[in-house]
Amino acid sequence: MSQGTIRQILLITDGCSNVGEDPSAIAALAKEQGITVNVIGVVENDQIGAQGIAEIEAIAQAGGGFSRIVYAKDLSKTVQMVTRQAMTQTIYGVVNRELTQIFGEEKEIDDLPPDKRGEVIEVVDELGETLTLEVCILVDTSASMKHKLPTVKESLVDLSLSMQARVGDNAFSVLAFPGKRRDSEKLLDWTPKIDDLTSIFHKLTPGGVTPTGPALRDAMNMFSKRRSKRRWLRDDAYNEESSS
Amino acid sequence: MMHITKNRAVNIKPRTLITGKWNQNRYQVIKQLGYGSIGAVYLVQASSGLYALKIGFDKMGIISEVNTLRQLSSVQGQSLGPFFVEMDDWNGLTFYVMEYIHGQSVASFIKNKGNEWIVVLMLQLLTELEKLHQKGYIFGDLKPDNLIVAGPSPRIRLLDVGGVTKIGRSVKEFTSFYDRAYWGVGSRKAEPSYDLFSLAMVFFHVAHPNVSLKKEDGIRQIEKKLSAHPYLKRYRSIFNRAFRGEYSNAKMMREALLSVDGGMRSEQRSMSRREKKKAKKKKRKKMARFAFLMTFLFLAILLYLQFKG
Repeated sequence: MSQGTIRQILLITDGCSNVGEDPSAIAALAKEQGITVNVIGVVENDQIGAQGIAEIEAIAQAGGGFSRIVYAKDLSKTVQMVTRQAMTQTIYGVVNRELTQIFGEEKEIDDLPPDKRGEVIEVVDELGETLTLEVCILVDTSASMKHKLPTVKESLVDLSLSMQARVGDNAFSVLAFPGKRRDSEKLLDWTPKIDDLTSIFHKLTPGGVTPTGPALRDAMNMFSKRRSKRRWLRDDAYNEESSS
Repeated sequence: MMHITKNRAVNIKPRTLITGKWNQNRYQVIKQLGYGSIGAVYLVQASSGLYALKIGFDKMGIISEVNTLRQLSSVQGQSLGPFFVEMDDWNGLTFYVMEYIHGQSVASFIKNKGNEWIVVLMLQLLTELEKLHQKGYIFGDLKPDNLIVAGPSPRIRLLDVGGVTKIGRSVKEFTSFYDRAYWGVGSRKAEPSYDLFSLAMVFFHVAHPNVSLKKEDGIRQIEKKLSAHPYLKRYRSIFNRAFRGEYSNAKMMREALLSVDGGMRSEQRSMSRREKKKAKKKKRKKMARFAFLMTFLFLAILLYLQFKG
């Protein structure tokens, strides 16, 4: 939550990875970088394998986020719920650490009597509404996902719609995997809102492999690119200032 | 192969005794009343009577709801939501206890009592919402599941305050069918008109229980259906204005609804006036006939007397 920013990766998939690094390891790496990884497994009439579910849960757990397995029709609601819950959880974690610092030992919100908790939560709510939120959305576009993509698109537009109503700033980016020649394809670079994904989802050619791990790494890199770009911009402004 | 299960579901069996860790109050579970995004609600028995108890893994959500309930209970007089009783922990879960509101769903109430109750409930709900908005909050997730009609004299009450949001913030919880952003006619920023849209949608739904709507056809299809409804068509312009966010507060919409029925009363009055006039006319006709008969008789007597004489 450095500089008042919450960073999340949202992985939307419908099954198991089959190429490249272990996605859980990459998720754990992201967590270390201060990025929470949430995973939503979308199923339709066809059911998801136990192995797929296990992987989805493992990735979210390693990434310090939430996982949900849902039918396509509930995707929109779930995307928002998961994003919000993870956001609050991140802030909650920070507040808990602060409490530990103040009271020492393992003092957490749960250890406070019920009457005292309310005020803490009010602070958490306030922060959730005002902090900057950066979400990189990673969409599995392998063959089995093809007919679910319109729903995915809709739910992302809806997520953006909800987040725009917040007081704080938002930034979204969208990656699809597998990419044409690479592990993932950038569909949308960092933008404050998602309003039209129709054209970009059309270009996709759903392939056979599912390189979830490498794609997660790409998503993680999206944040460092954003940060370095910002730093570069800031340096640039500084240089201009000093030269004048 | 695996079934899709609700993640982190809370399932407490009837007759389980829940004893609060901090306050040591005891509640015996009777049955589950409902299931929400942050936990389940149970009907429980305490020594002082029946209560509703909400319990869940999402501590944050539970505490946040308690904050809201406390806020709402601080209004003088009647509570906008259920009365808040207490919050406590049990088995690592956080729960809170609130008033158990016994009643029936809006849909079954209207089905039993008739369509003319729709506007009564709307007016009651608008009064409640106006109070809530005055306090700086909107209800957010206004839908049939979150409303109940309690007796003995029917009164609509708000349940589940999970969606209650400070005005100006982003709506905490919503249901797509009742969400104006889903229908593409507004944002998810918390403002009174957000609730008014949902309210209009709730009662549209109550009046048309079997209608299925398509998102692609937008709000137009609803307006069309309304103008064909035998009872609601008189109010259709008010519904349409609520759908378009043209009422900036609940009071405005309430007054608009009242004026429709006020208008009807004067119509009735004028109809009865017309009837009275008709009755008068009839009376006059009778009088005229009577007078004519009397003159005729008088003339006849006169003639008779003349001949006799």
